Amino acid sequence: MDTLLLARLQFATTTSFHFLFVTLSLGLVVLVAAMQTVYTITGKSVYARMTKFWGTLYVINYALGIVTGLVMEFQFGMNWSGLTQAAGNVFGAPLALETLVAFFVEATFLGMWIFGWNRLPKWVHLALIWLVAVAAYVSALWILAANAFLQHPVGYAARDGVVVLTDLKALLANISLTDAFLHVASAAALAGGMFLAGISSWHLIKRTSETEVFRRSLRWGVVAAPAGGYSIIHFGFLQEVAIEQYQPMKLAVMYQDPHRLELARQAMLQRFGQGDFAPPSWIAVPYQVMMNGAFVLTLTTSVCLLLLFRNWIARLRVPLYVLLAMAPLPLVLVVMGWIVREVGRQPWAVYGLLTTEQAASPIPPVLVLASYIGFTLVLGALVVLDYWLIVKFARRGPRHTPLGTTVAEPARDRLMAF
Amino acid sequence: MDVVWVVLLGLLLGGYFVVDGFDIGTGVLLRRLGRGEGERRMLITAIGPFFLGNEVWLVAVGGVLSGAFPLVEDRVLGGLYPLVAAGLLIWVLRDAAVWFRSRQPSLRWRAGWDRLLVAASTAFAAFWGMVVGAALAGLPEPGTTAGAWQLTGPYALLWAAVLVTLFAAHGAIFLVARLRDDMATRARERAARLLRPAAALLVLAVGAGAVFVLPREWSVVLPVTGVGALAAGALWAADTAVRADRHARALVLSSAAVASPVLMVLLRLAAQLPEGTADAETLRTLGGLALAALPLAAAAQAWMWRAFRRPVDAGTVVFF
Ligand code: HDD
Ligand code: HEM
Ligand code: HEM
Repeated sequence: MDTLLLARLQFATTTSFHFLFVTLSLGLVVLVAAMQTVYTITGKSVYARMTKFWGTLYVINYALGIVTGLVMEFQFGMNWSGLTQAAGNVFGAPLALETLVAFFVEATFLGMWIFGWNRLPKWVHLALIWLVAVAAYVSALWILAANAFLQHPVGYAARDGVVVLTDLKALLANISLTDAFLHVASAAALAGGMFLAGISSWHLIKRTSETEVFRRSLRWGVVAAPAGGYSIIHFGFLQEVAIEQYQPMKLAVMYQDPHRLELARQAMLQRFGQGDFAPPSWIAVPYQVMMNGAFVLTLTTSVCLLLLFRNWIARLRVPLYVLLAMAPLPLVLVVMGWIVREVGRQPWAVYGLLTTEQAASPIPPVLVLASYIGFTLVLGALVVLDYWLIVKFARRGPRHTPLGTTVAEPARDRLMAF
Repeated sequence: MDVVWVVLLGLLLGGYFVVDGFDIGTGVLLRRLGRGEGERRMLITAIGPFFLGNEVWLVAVGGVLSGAFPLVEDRVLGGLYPLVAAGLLIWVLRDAAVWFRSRQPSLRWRAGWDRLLVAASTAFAAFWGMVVGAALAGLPEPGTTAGAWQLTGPYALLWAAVLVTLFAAHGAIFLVARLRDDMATRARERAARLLRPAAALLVLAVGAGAVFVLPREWSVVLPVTGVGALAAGALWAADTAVRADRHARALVLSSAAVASPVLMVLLRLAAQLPEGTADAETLRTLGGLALAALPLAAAAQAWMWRAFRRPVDAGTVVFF
């Protein structure tokens, strides 16, 4: 095993872990903030229970978003020093801005939101969760800007073999960024919506006593999911238009169309000279899975949306089982999408500027292997544990949520056992 | 312009040592200061509201390294690769212990995570000590990784001992301010017991560094030992302050001491840092927005500390 392969596997594994959690965080934070807004305005207690219940699941999910993110941030410098040497000037800039502009605010305010229940004024507490939400999307925008630069480098100039950042605005106007960001944001809405719909369905199937909470949550989910779904399909196909311009070979491979492949091969020959510039052909498979998954989810949730009429959705019961079964699907599709995007960029680390081979650090393979095993085992175990906790708290329902408990209430805390 | 970024890097990393030092120190002392599950939860609640806002300082260090010092980033992360990988794993485990320990009511579950939290916090403090020790010996040449002697030799281990003691003392002083009654008293006693040994260890490490490790140049040895001596003095004064029950002053002094290793490392590497910055044009493009964001981040942090300044009591919200 060589350093390159191990570094790629390591990066792919941690980012996939990271993305499973942050997609759901991005989707849930908006829904939770909206619930808390309705509660703050109307004062209806059902919305307080909804906010605390879904807020708890959001926060438990958040834990893994953080720990996987911490590892990723330092992985660039550890395993991809060629990338920092050749393009670090540009590639590092959005990462720096992400941490200074977004993470600082997000982490600080999330802590305040968690510990501010009933301590801070109602409207201030509400403002905090919205600030967390905004910061989360700003951070996603910057990280995607970094990724879009890898896909389609813009806003730079080459000076003596290194690239320097000349135009921050161009980095943000990258055609590889705009549709991708909206596609990712829509995926978050779909994932969040399906999460609400699936867990609410479970409680309704079990004939919960919290009907009010879960009927409303089901509605919210069944509205958010197809909205996200249509938007995903829209921006997904728009992305194809952009990819056709800047990575024609990737698009040809994604569709396995002999005619396009031939055209792309000639374009590559003209641009880069002799060599194999095609990504692995198997990315066509995850691409098909993603697309068909989108159709299935969007169609199903649209039907469910109609069935909200006179509560047919719960009376028929079958839709509840379907929604429950499909709840994790968006997360699988999200990883498929990233595999298409990242593996489809091969053999380039920065498209047209730096190959992946040149990007890898000159670190002895044993060290990379050891760290790969360490990170995968530890993060993998935590991923399993975190999902187990999410399921546990999801089943427990809104009766006892940890959010807002105080030091004086440890007895209640203990009561939560069953 | 380079200077601005070096100062920013120093402030962020030094600030990180100060604020996450509270959390690391509390983690190290968790099972000594907290008798039983209830008290341990109080200790974690003492750091709770700040925990996320504290560790994000290190995330920002990573961001500034990659944005403004890509070449330094390579030499630190690549040069100290095995140490950095271990440190990341320890960090992940520390966070997991904080996040998961209260998610089940079972006492066994909580005790298990508490043990992990103590082990990971202690290892994390030791990790920072080893990074400081290795960095004072000089960064490895670009493209190479430091050997086992530099990373885990006696000098690195001496620094590990310094920082475990120092973070523990710093955390104890923080807890005096955050807790009441019995637990505050216990934290004060613990701080009083740790501060002088911390000062002694620091003097030993700085002295050994001047004799055996630092390059024989006055421009390096003088400032580094000077900072070390001041920090040891601050610890001694903090000890007096703690005994006189003036914990605000003690906290300021221990903060200065905890941040001092960062300053020493920067002074040691001063000659190398500007070589590793991004080019001037990039820094100019990056600078405006980054520097505009800083007051915002600072305001958020100030608000956090103000909003949760009251010591933990029965009405305090718990989560971790
Ligand atoms: C719930 C998740 C989900 C669903 C249902 C879809 N996608 Fe997607 N897709 C993603 C989640 C995603 C993603 C994980 O969020 C990606 C990875 C990178 C990105 O920008 O979004 C992605 C990438 C991605 C790319 C690759 C961009 C590149 O290589 O640069 C294309 C072309 C599409 N998508 C197109 C589609 C189309 C045409 C869809 C439906 C008909 C679709 N996606 C459904
Ligand atoms: C498109 C890809 C990505 C998106 C949308 C994204 C989004 C997010 C979000 C929303 C969070 C907050 C945690 C949560 O909500 O669960 C987060 C955390 C984090 N991410 Fe990512 N991320 C992406 C990729 C990356 C990459 C490539 C890195 C490495 C540089 C990274 C580094 C981090 C770090 C360090 C944290 C923890 C921050 C903290 O302590 O608050 N992320 N990410
Ligand atoms: C969060 C979702 C992401 C997933 C699932 C993902 C997945 C992957 C995969 C599978 C690889 C290995 C590709 C290969 O070499 O065969 C990879 C490499 C890489 N990705 Fe991502 N990625 C994600 C997001 C990002 C983002 C947001 C960035 C940039 C900020 C990024 C930067 C990189 C880099 C630098 C490499 C290594 C160079 C390379 O192999 O081309 N990734 N990623």
